[in-house]
Amino acid sequence: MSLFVPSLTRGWFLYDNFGVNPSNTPGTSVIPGASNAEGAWTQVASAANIAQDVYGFFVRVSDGATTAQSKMHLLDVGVDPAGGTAYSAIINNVVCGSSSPSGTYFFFLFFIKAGSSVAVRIQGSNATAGTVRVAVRFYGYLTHPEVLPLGMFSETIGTITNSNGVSYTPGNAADGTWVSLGTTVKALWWWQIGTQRDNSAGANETLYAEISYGDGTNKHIIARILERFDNAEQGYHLLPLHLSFFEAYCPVPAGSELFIRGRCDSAPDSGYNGVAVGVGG
Amino acid sequence: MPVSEAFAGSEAVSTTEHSMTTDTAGPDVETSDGAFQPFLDLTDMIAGDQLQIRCYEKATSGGTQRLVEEWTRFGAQSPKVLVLPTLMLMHGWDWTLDALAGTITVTWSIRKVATPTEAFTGSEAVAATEHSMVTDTAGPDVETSDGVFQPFLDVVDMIAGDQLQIRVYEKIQAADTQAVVYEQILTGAQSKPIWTCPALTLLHGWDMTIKALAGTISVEWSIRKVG
Repeated sequence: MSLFVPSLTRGWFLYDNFGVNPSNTPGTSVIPGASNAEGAWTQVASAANIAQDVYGFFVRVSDGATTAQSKMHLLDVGVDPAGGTAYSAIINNVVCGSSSPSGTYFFFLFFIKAGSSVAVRIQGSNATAGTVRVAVRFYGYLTHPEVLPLGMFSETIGTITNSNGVSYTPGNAADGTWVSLGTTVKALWWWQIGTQRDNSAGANETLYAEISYGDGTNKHIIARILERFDNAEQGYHLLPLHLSFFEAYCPVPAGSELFIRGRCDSAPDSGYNGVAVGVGG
Repeated sequence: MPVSEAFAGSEAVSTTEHSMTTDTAGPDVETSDGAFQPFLDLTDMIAGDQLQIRCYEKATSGGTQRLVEEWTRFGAQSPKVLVLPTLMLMHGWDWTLDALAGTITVTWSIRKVATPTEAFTGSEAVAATEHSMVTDTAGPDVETSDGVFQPFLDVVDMIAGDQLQIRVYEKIQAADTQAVVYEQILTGAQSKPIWTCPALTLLHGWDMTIKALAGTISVEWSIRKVG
């Protein structure tokens, strides 16, 4: 029996909602729900746009912050395989509040069938909904699809309270204490971190956050991000390390406990919260 | 295992899908049994060219030919030879070429390394009870026949909201406890309705199972064996 392991894959199809190229405001403006209500679905790709099977997509969330306001946000990504507007969420409650014009970045290795329509919706904490910009790029047409795991479902690990994830306290120039996010239901192998700071008068500070799985004694760090929060209540990724395959890809068994911790470059302000989003299939 | 060249040819492929088994328009429905691996010379591809390569098969002898996998190449290639995975094909298969842009001369050789047999086949409207594709009853079972096995499942019945768990179990050593060695979960309608996975060498107490985590899903399957 001959064996051959192909090389990695390249995706030649792409579609995005970035708009005119180049644009300093790429993406679609989305109105979040107010006062912890879910927002309405806003389409980011039609059935005609998703002309090929999609194996992964990039997301940037930006422009959601307001000075002296706490604007916490939870992003869902929904798909209608029939190409209509009956969206079902494939990604739920990505913590992404107070996003600056630079924004926060995610990549989901997730399969979307050709001919599907795709939308996003955002739950917002603030009584004044405002707007958030969401830029999405989809990838397909693979040279070696058999080498890429097919993302078929996701789990968001971390209880949502109002529009916040799980609260944790970063350390002051040292690692904070690991805080449990919860337990995976199924085996998951692709990970992204969602973080935000629920604070309407925060200081300038930089957060290094990481997620891990393990037990009370031993933990395996899965992925990290470096994020800046400023005194205009804006957050943005300085180092979205969880976009790298080498951090995002990490097979974690079903029933594993996930943890989050952080460290700041100064005495941390209050309000840090987050979730881990895992993809499996 | 003796190796032979089962099919070979060369074609200036344009927008008509071309069979690499019949060297005519395709897909054809080839029923010779083999573990086949295609080698394709893509030296002719240049900037602007776009080549689609597909594999089709029937999961069962009475089934319908459907897409197993699809590969797409763009522009000049490095390396210039494309080697595709080895698949145990039996019931109504083909490998095809289609130039989605340009006219591309492709030379191919489909090598055969063994003649598989169909070890287990069946169909089931699977629900929340895990189902053995070896015994066609609730599973997992503990099968001890030896061989290199590769499953082919027809999951065309899957629709939005369905979720199908496919597992392979095996014992590492004969006295060990059976454990999961491979798992995949499919969700919703499938673009490539014939599902397969790498061939596995199984010995001591194995099974391949299906279970609907959501919905009730009719699945036809064939577990092919070499050795």
